[in-house]
Amino acid sequence: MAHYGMVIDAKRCVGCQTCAVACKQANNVPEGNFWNRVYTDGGKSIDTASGTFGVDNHLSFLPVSCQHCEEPACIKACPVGATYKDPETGIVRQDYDKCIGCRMCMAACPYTGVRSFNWEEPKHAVDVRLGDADAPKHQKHVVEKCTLCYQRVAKGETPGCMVLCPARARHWGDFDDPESEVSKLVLEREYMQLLPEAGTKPSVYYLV
Amino acid sequence: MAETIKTGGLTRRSFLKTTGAVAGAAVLGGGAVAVARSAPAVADEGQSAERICSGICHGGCVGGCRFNWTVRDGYVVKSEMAPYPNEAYNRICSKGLSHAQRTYSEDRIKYPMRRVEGTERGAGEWERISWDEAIEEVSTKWKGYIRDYGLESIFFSQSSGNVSMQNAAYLNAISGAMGFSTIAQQADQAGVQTIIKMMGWQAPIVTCNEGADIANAKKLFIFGCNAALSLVQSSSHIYAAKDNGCKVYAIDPNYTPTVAKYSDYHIALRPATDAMVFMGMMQAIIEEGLQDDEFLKTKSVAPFLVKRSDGLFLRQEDLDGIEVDPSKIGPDTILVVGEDGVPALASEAANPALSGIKEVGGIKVDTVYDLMLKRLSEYPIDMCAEVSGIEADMIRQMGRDYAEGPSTVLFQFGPDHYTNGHTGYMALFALASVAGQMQKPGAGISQGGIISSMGLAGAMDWIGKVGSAAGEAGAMSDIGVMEGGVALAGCQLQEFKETGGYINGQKVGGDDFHPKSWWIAGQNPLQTTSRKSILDSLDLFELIVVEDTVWNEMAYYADIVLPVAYYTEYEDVSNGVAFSAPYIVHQEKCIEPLFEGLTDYEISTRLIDAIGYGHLTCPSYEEWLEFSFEASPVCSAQGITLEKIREVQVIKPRYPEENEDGIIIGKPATPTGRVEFLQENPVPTNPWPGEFDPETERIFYWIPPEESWVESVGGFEATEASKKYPLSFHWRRSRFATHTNFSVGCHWLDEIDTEPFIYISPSAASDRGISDGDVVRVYNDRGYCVLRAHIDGGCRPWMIYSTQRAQGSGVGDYIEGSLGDLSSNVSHPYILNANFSECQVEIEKYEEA
Amino acid sequence: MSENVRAARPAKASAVQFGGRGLNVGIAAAAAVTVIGLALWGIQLAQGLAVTNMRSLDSWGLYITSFMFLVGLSAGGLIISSVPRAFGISGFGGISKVAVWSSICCTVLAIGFVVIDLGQPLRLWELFAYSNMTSPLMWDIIVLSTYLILSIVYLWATMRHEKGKGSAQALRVISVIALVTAILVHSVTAWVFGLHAGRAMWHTALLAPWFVSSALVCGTALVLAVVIGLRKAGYMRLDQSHVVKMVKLLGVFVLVDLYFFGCDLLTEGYSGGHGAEVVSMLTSGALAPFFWTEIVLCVFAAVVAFVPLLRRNGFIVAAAIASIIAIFCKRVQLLVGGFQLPNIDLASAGAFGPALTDAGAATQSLGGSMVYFPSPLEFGVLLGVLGLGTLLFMLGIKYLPLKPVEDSR
Ligand SMILES: Nc1nc2c(c(=O)[nH]1)N[C@H]1C(S)=C(S)[C@@H](COP(=O)(O)OP(=O)(O)OC[C@H]3O[C@@H](n4cnc5c(=O)[nH]c(N)nc54)[C@H](O)[C@@H]3O)O[C@H]1N2
Ligand SMILES: Nc1nc2c(c(=O)[nH]1)N[C@H]1C(S)=C(S)[C@@H](COP(=O)(O)OP(=O)(O)OC[C@H]3O[C@@H](n4cnc5c(=O)[nH]c(N)nc54)[C@H](O)[C@@H]3O)O[C@H]1N2
Ligand code: SF4
Ligand code: SF4
Ligand code: SF4
Ligand code: SF4
Ligand code: SF4
Ligand SMILES: [Mo]
Repeated sequence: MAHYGMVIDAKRCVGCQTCAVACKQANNVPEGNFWNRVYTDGGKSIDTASGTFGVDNHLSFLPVSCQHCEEPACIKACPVGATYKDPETGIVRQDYDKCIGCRMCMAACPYTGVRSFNWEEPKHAVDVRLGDADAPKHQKHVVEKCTLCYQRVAKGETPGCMVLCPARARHWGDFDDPESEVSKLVLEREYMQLLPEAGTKPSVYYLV
Repeated sequence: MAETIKTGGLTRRSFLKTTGAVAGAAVLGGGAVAVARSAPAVADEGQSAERICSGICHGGCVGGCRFNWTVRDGYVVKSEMAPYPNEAYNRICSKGLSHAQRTYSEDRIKYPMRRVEGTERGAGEWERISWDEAIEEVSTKWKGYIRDYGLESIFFSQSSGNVSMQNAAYLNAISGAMGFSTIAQQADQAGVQTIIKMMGWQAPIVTCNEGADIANAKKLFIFGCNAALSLVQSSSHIYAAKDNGCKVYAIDPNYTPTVAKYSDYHIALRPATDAMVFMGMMQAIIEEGLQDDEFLKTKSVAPFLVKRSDGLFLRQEDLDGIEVDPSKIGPDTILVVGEDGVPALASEAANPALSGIKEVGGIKVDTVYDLMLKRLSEYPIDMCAEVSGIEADMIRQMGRDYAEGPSTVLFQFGPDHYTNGHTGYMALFALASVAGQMQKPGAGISQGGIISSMGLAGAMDWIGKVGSAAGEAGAMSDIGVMEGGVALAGCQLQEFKETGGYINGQKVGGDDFHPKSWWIAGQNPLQTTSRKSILDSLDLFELIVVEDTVWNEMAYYADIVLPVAYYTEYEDVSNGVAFSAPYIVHQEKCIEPLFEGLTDYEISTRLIDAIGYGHLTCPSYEEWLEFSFEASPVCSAQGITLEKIREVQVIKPRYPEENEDGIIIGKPATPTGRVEFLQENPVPTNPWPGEFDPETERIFYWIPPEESWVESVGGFEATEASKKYPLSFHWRRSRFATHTNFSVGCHWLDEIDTEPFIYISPSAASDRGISDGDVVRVYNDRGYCVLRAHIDGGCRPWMIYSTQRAQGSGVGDYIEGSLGDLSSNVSHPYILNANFSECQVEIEKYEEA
Repeated sequence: MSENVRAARPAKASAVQFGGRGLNVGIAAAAAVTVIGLALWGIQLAQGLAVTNMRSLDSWGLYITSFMFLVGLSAGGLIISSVPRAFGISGFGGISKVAVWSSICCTVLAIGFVVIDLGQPLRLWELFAYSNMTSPLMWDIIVLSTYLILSIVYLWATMRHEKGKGSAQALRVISVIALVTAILVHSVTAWVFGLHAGRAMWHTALLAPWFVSSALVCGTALVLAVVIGLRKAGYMRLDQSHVVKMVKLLGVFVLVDLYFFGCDLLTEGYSGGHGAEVVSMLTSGALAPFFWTEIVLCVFAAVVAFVPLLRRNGFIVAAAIASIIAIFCKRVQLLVGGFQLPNIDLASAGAFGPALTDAGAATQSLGGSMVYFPSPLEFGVLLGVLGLGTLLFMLGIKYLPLKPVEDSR
């Protein structure tokens, strides 16, 4: 038994979008979908600041993927159990072969932009199937989302978005293991969680 | 269950992104075909044998990130971060992650193509030709030009497209040996040439501390640099410093992601006034007695004596009354005046005087230090404050903090792209000398990493080995061209054309000089300089050959387009010069070149061979790589060979500049071995210089920029241009491109960076009735561009910007026109540079006609 | 209506058939529309739901709006017809069967919309094989199908009863069960939305009773409109007093519904924060047109219901139609409102403006501001489904003995 999750240092993130693209690559995520979005907390478009120059500018970044909640709203809502919690790892997974495409889970998940539906036959810009060999193949008319790179974690490998952060803002690991980096980080540092009031108990912690 | 392994998955893509004119080209004329858009063969489903290849990113972003490529079933399917021995250098960016996708992109140039006979350049009508035809056509024409107009009638251009042994090094070696002329990109040159003047640039000598040393700084000054985007690979170092309690100043006229994420203090100076801030800091340091005399005396030219008669340093020869040729004087006999008041060789005097020496042996002199003080006195702190808009107290605080150190200046080229760009960099090196903030751990002036390095082979080495077309090895000019050839910069082409061959009143290349052909490999000339002026000048050339990996805009204007193999398709070695990690990295060949791509080595070798100069080429690429290691004093001394790098993939040579802790601490590579913040002989970097005052250029100073000076302050009147066009436009780097490299073929990045935007302050927008997302027209007398506006509260109210990724007509990223058309070609007479931030514009909401 | 000619003939209770050429033409037309709808659905399945304007950030649209709406319509009819019987009070004069039939048709359509909205309709069987009982959608499926069966049984029992078979007591028991299910259907459908803590607009305990009241509004209105129409067409006779009774009832329901709305707006708006955003989105933001249309139409219906002078057939039908439109507007507000306010309201990749979707961008470029607006295909499919409904209803009218018998109440 483990409880995998992420710790993201929102103070450090420079919004480079590397993790967003890494996710697309590792999982060959179809065109138009993002399992990992880097939000800009500032102006109306990415990389712009809010406020007025010299007065009250603000700009920071927030990478958001599935929060692998302990009390996932999505799982409760799914009528057929196509989204489910992996008992070994606590990872909230998707079964594309089972999903009936009803999108209850999307209505239920409080985290904007985390879940995506393949509204048509998944498109890819190139013919070659990129990414991990054992990343699940995308299907039309099913819902998908960050799987914490289950195909990697199951083999003891690191999720695609976790090795590369130039700002060293991304950490992942087992919250059940008090010795893990993530456990220690949430003990040592001040953190926030997204929408705690939604009662989902996210497994993603943002250091602030 | 879906998340189990399922192989297969190679589906024909069901949609095509139109690549612009080529895709839609009408089929015209005999045998003309639109570019075939066939996909690579589809692999069999089933077994997924994976192989990992070592690699490195070659784009000119100062990065040099190491990759592992995953090759599956004969396809490159992933590029992922590969660790360096020092984990501080582990990183990759969104672009680096796109190489596999780019390898298979429809935007690649697939076959040699010829512009359809009788169609206009840029009309987008192409016919596919064979390699033999392509080589035959180009070489036949070249032979004719060489016969009738000489080798210099052929221009070669290469820039930052692929900073590797394959493209950058070999092509320059070959074209140098040929004595071809060049059209240089000339971006960043106010900064780069100033740094070369002050710090020198010699292949095996590293002139700045290695990137990871930023972590040792206690004060970090990020200067003219949007590091969070343009040096994203340095963010680990910056945070390491911050974790150690480093205080960060960001010197930038705008509130950027860098200011937001890294800085404790935002020094929001007026653009192009950096020299003012640095001069103010120097004065604060000196006033408060914080200057580092030791450094000034031993590591800078401060104690040198400048003769009032000719501005040259006082040398032993002067005292001995020996007449010397000023062009032959060296550094060894430079004199200083020692403690005892007696002149002594600079290299020997233990404690030279910095100030107060007015005469030596009857020769009137000044110490460099006194000249520096004199120059400073022309710019009192209050004036510095007024002009830069930074309060004097803040300038003083910066001075104190800087002098306390250890302080690192992390710079890029924000201030470079103005006509006064060099003034900031000149002042910076004097400031560092005054404060002694160089050549120590945590103290340096850094571009994010090493500048110059192990010195793998370059043009000079090759010419030394094989000679040149002209028969003897000439010298290379500052602008990177071999003697014999003619050097021009893109920003000079229009003047050259309009004056019938003159630049700044000088006849370029003599009377019988006639440009005939332009061979471009690894450069996109339609950026940097006013794009329109380049396009207008293309008719100077009868034959334009573009050798590129992808259909970037310049390719659309070529006569012959040659497909280059992608990074994944050949073996290579990173040459380290432009990279910020101090390693040599092996790029393994992952797959065979797709389509009909050939490597830059193969193409250039075939071309040169075909015109009868095969003896100047290298017989095989492997031999070229072997030679590269042999030519490097560092590698050859340490037994680093091609064989070795093939075995270990990544290696850090032992650098002579390493300290006890194994950190590379850069040192000047100047003739004197000192920081030469005063030039005894200010040589213009422009081969066709305008008139300038050597007295002024000798040491730092400040003047306002020629066009983009918007506010009348400190007695410096706003320019006429700014009255007509009140908004100052500047470019910023895109996270999603290195210039125009990665501009096409990176589809994942296109999903994030969907189209180009002009970023404008809320006040400028509301004054013009523009809201976020509106389509606007940006214009000045030089051109216009229609695109969508985004509002960025971080913009100084009258500054606007766009990110450099989009391209004009052929690629067609803009709704209309191109932002590149708005740039000015104005250059300083002393420093030749592309000053694309001298660009006043106006914006209006776009109403479709 | 074109059947007037035929309707002049006295209706015979025993005659199963009604209408003539006019009705046949109507049936054929409805069938044609249905077939077109099916074809459009085929296109949607083949090309993907991308042909709709739903996207991942507004993942439900017109279909689920219509689903909600039709569940409401259906239960309203059933409640109208079963309440009098269940409580043994005087009814509305023999409209019971027609009301139940309309209700059955609506239920079929509601289920149809769920299926049409589904990405993988062929996997429907999984609902039974892998039922996850924590999912409100699962409850809804169960309750809806039970409800459909019960409605059919109820109709059948009524008809049997009319033929003198089966006991009145049995019918009454069935009507009670049907009534309870009708209310349940509403509540459960409300819970498909209302149980999601993450959607501010939906997450209110009031949602279930409010769904019931809305259902009563539009259900009553539908029955009213239908029976007045059928009376006019000569299909049935109905004493005006029943109509008036129904109109008054409609007025009461409308007021109750408005009252709930008022309660909800106050509760959301009063505390500020996200709730206040919801209120301003409704009253002055993207959904204001739908909000104000609803309010105005509801007020109009209530006025007609309570001002005796206005209780004339024309006004009554207008009030009924107004109520139905009002409730549809309500459904639109609810559905779009759930997606309109992102919980993470920050700029994201590849988008400009707050809408992260093509559809949103599309309406925004048209000057609108909703994150979602249906595509033409969605309207086409909707039309097809409505065609199916009309077809079913007319077939019922034509072939089923739905006419009031003299002694029925
Ligand atoms: N408007 C504007 N212009 C600018 C700047 C700006 O900010 N704004 N910045 C300036 C700066 S600082 C710089 S350094 C310059 C850089 O200018 P350039 O060095 O011209 O950079 P790129 O535009 O990336 O063009 C490189 C070209 O090389 C091609 N290429 C990539 N790999 C290979 C290869 O292996 N072989 C060959 N043959 N070609 C290859 C790319 O596809 C691309 O067409 O741009 C300058 N120009
Ligand atoms: N992602 C990415 N990285 C790159 C490149 C790329 O294309 N993409 N290109 C590489 C190359 S060749 C280069 S030259 C560098 C360029 O690196 P940078 O120079 O950091 O790049 P810019 O985006 O031009 O950022 C310029 C900054 O300077 C500020 N600025 C403008 N005018 C002035 C001024 O007068 N004074 C001061 N102090 N600041 C000013 C602007 O507000 C802006 O924040 O980036 C390198 N790295
Ligand atoms: S890779 Fe790191 S810095 Fe870049 S966006 Fe992701 S979390 Fe932020
Ligand atoms: S973030 Fe959303 S999708 Fe992920 S587990 Fe939580 S509720 Fe489910
Ligand atoms: S869309 Fe798929 S995963 Fe989501 S609730 Fe429906 S069946 Fe479950
Ligand atoms: S863990 Fe894997 S699936 Fe999840 S965001 Fe990171 S790369 Fe994507
Ligand atoms: S583009 Fe630059 S930062 Fe990005 S992977 Fe390549 S070298 Fe590294
Ligand atoms: Mo550059």
